[in-house]
Amino acid sequence: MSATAAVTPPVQSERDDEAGLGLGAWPLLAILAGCGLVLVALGNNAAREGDGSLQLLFWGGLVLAYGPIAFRLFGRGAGRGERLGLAVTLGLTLFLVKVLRSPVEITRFDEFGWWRATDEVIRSGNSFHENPLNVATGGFPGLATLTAAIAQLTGLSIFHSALAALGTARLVLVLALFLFLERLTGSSRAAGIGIAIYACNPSFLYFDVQFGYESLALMSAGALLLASQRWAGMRRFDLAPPAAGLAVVVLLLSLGLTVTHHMTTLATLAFLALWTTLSLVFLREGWIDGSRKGPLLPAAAMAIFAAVWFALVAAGVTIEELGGVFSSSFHSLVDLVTGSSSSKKLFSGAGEKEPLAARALALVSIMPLLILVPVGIWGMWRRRVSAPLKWTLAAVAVLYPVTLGLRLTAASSETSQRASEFVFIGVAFLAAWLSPRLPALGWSPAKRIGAQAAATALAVLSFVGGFLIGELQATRQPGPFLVGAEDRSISPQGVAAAEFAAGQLPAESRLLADRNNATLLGSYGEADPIFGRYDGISLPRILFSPRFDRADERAIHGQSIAYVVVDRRLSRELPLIGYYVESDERGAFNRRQPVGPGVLEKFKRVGALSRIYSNGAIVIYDATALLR
Amino acid sequence: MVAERSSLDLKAVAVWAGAGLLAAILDLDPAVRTVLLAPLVLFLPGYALCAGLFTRDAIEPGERLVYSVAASAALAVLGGILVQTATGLDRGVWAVLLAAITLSLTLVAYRRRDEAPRPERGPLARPLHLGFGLLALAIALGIAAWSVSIASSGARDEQGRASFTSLWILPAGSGAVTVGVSSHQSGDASYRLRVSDGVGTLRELELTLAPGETREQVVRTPASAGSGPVEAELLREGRVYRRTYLNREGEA
Repeated sequence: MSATAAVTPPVQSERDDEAGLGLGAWPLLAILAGCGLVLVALGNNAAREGDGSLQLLFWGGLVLAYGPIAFRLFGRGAGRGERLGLAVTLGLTLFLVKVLRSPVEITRFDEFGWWRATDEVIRSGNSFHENPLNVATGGFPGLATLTAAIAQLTGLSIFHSALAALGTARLVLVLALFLFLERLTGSSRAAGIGIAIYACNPSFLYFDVQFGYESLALMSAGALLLASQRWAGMRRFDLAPPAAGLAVVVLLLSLGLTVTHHMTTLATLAFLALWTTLSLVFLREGWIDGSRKGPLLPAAAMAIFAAVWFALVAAGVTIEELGGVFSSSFHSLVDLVTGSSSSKKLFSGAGEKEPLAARALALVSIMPLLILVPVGIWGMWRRRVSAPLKWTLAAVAVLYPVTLGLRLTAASSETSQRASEFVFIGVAFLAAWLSPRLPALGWSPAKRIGAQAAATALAVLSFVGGFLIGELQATRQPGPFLVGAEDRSISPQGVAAAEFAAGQLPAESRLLADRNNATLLGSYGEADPIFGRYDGISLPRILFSPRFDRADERAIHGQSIAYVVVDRRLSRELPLIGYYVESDERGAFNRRQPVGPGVLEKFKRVGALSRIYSNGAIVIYDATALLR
Repeated sequence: MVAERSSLDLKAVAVWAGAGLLAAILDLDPAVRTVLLAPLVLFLPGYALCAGLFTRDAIEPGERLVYSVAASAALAVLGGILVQTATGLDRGVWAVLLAAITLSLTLVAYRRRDEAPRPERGPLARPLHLGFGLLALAIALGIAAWSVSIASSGARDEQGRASFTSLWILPAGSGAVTVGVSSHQSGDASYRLRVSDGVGTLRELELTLAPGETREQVVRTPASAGSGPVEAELLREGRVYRRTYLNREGEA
């Protein structure tokens, strides 16, 4: 067997797969998906007005956008062109669900960091800047540079330029994965099923298409995977133009990926390294012959580019960002195992009360995928599959249950969330590999349709459950302002305060604010929000101590904080994510009641502070007198 | 004649890149500029590269599209990073950079295609009902666009419902302050603005602001006024609606 099974024949007779250009039911299902989007939009508009009774529109729209396409992809009788069209339509429809969530402005925490990075590129003509909202943007300038190119050339806003880049990236990712799975399984039906399952990953709806570097990097990784697969399957000594061309593409995409995102680079590198290792082991055992090129070139290219880029440019920011995420994950898990802390409620945010039904649905939704992984691997073992690439993907799928375990603590949930788009490539492969092998050939048409409907129902369950798992209840839809609730804490008052800062305060003024206003002021406001500690004093203390005292004064002076921003709405309720400013602030995740209004008003009594701005909700105090 | 026909795509790419270069210089409508210039970032350089690297039948169209877009993004990013070591990135630099990459790669592809034997091609099969299918897809696209329009109007309405007015006070050099008022109300809003110091009222005026309107006033603060704070109050229906102040020790 070849090193990659690049030209595996179809697993069974599927004359429908040979149908070529026919559009089949694609247009009709695209119309249905469009209707699903209209329902989602109407449901979101109702939610914006605080009307939760119309949630059914939103969920119904999601099911309508996903279900019929999944049903067709699971079934037989569709042509290759139709399946390809449906897969792309599914990817783009679900991208539009995110657009419908926030159609006129960015709202997610990470997006503001990238807005700032892109704005800096546009204003300075340079991609490498320190960014108080996201340290990594200076080490991985791919997304900001690309978005700036679109914005500068077309005159579109950063928001619309990002949509153009991310929509294109989603289209290419889905197309690349479809072709990759199709080549691997020899079946366009299997590839379509793989895409339907990949869309169930908890990050697919929102996180993977937010204005963040991972969204762009996934496209590069998907394209690189496809090119690597083709390269690995070529004859070993083939140096004809297509091979040389592929080598150029592999090198270019590796380099492009390396400067775009650390985590995707590391995940792709680990994947290619495992694939190479398995290829060598299989070769040594005689399970494959050595007539193919194998994945050594892509693996080596990724390793070299990543090593050089990380060593020269991005090591510091990578360690600072990923180190923090992994270390807090590790410590929270150790605390859980040793009993120092208890687990968080599965599939529920820190300050949220997810309804029991939703949590039960989320729990049930992972079952089909949890069963799929061992069954798929057992099937591969039984059939003596000897393609290293397939076993590499199976190994990736094994990580799925592990990532679910990470959701037992708040800190490691983020790692689990970030891993899902990689892990689901393995899960999607197993679904793609397994589905055409299910014993359906002898079934009657009615029985087949029943099985197809059952498979679709399970997929819909996994899709809806994936969304429940991956997104906070409060941020799935828009709605009225909530305290410390990410997207739901972005309000016109916050934007107005940021616009005031941009227009009236010196650029890059250092200021202290709660997490959500910090993102607005650090992006639209062109200011530098300050986090962390000074001389052992936690900076959030300045906002939340009962009295403004010497320690607060010392911290302001020591950190050169020129402005203190107070959002009076913080006293209305507890922060939904568990903290107001930083996850290690005093009282984080343990507060029983919100900060008192008197605490937030204490700055009125400080003679050295000037209350220079107020819009009712947000007040800005000038603290420059304390810096002299 | 045959060679010309087989390179129609490359000629189109070259013309598009040239038109993009012109569009970057000329003051065109944003929509036209977007149509001409977005592909210069997201598609054309990669397409030209792939055209030079792969003969027409070496890879299928879907795979070519994947490589074209991903390679375009990589070329734009890497090109931008390299160029900024010499000069800052702006519209002109981007246009010249990306057009130069596209045109040079197109030239290479054109030459290589001339050297390669032209593959035999039969006529393309045109599936039945393709026209109806495409029409239905266009309808689907229209419905999707409609959903975005519904969501956008909902989001704007939500923003409009947040009615508030901002007030600020800032030092304006020695012996003066700037007082600003900005309306985020949905209709015209009337206020009385009063600026005072520890001694008395420095300025008082009636304001009517249209939605989105901002007004600023520079108010002189006499040196004899003492060292108390300069205070700006915005009154609505006789009651203090917003209050800001500038402590003298904080004055620049």
